[in-house]
Amino acid sequence: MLNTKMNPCKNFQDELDPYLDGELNPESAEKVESHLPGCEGCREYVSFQKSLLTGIKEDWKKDVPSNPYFYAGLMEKIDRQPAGPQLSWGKLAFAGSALMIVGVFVFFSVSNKPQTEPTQEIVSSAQPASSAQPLITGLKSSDMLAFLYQEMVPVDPARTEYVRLVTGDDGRPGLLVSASDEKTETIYLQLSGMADQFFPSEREAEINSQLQKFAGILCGGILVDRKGQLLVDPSVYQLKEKIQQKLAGLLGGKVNENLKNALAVLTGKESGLVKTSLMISFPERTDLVKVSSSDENEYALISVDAFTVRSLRQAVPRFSRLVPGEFQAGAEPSYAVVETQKRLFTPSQPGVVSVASNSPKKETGLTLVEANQLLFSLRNGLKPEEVLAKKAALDEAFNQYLKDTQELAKQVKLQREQSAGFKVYVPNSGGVKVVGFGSSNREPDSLKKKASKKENGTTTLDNE
Amino acid sequence: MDARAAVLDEPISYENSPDYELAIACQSGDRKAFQRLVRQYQEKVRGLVYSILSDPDTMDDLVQEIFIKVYTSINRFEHRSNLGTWIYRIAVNHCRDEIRRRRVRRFFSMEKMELDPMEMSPTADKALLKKERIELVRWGLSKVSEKHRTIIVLRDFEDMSYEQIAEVLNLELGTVKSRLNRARLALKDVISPFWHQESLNDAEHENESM
Repeated sequence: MLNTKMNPCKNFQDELDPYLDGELNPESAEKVESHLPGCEGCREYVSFQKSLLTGIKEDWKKDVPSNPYFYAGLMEKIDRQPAGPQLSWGKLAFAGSALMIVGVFVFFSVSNKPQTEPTQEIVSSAQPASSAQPLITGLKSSDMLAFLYQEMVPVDPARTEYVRLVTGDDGRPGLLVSASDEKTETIYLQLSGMADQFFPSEREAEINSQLQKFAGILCGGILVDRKGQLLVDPSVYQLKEKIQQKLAGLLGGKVNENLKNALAVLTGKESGLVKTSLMISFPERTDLVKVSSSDENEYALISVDAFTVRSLRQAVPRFSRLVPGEFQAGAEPSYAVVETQKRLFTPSQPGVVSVASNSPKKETGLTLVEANQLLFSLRNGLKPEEVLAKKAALDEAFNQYLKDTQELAKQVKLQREQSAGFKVYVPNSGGVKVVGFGSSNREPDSLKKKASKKENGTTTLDNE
Repeated sequence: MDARAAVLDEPISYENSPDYELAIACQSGDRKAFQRLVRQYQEKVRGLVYSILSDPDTMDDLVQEIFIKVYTSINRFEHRSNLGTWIYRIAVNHCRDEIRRRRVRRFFSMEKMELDPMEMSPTADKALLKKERIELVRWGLSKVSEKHRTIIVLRDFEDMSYEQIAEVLNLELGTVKSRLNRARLALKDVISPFWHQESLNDAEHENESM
């Protein structure tokens, strides 16, 4: 052990590093040297820094994992770059980052909530007939701040870098709040400093106003901790208690264990590192919970309804980052979007944005390319009507997806009543697995066989 | 006037730097030249990325992305620094972006398992000690802030001069100095509880006497 109390003295503190690094002129270096014997703090600092790295520099480099195929792989990617070294990465990152889902997004409009006074304009006239609710648009950052202040952990307006509309993980627009204040930062995604990365454009205002027209649907994300306690409840009016009760009842205090099991089954491996957390991440899908593992590479989306019947929707065994080129669609910038979507959200079926249904056939939503295109056109001055039309299509897809999942929940419930096992849909396995959560003596494999038999023709989980 | 301002006032030409020709060739679209560039810098960039992020799983992808960035933006390289510095700057910035992305993800997972490092063993096995020390330093670096980590890596493992660091990180020389000092103090604070100077001395000593 070292005496950590010991610190270099003030007089020489600034000289010690240049001294160690050979950045001092000879005279100054000499001064330091003659100072050292008489000053324990400085001496200790110098000797620690010296011994810390002595002899490990070469091994440090050797410690770097090597990859003999790296060069070839890279050159192949380079060859696939569209037009040589011309592409603007700024633009790519720009377009891509907008689809990146960042966090606390609060969707606003009016599902169960009495409509608040719109601050600026209502575009209900442009609202497609399929959606009965009028939209509130034109909310200013200050309005949203007030809203957030009321509903969530207070945000200090002075420290808020921006409040912006972004596209949510389900392809819908949402609100992104980023605060520079350290306290709120941890809550609001620690996004401080990301503003440039997210919205580096001079056309910011214009883009935002267009995105605002694109906004719909009031909802909110809920963050739930391992005990099922809600951490942040932005706006899911009246649902909070319901969900809390549901979770408490469902998970019987063994939340983490259950989720851990779930992840282990889904990802096909036990991880000692796995610590799980719950997050209800889909605004309208309060039945959908995200489970993450602490190594950040694995997560699953679990339907709460499905959870009741121990059915899991989705798994991504191991994320491998996509590389540019893999999702190229002409000149569309797809990289950042693909990557981010893949990392943060669902697509087990590569190329599909964030959908949950019981079978690949029922996947709905936008493909990544479509999402890219939509976003790209938004950012390139698509007219609000066109945006709304696209939004309508998106809404429809989403509603379909809701319906599908509700249907699934029903069927799974029925299924459970008829069978002792329960089903886990694992997209990449090409079929269904049945596992025994909470009853660890069950063998997933043997249950799998059982599951693939159709029971009373009610199961829709099997791939046909 | 501080040293950096002085540097900037002087029109500096990097035409004599060894990589000038290479950069020009790459900018003219010479594919062979770019291959050379990759060969020349890949190990360095790998080392840098690994030191900053310590994540073998994503390292290849990140390094690949960095070189693709280099490739796609080489035409915007204006020879205001030497090529290596410019590449390092891209690499460091890319790592920072990655760290931000991870912060976002960490937020979603809400908590992260913390593992304490092993204390250095009191045995005097030098090889083992070295390995432990590397692990300890890696762990220590992962505990300090990205800013501190990066500057230590650039200085101590990439052997950059203060001036080069200033260029890569776009900092004043004075800031490099003070940040490095704070970084080292931070690293020391993190590591010292696990640090056995004596066993290190013993090992060194034993080795000498053999």
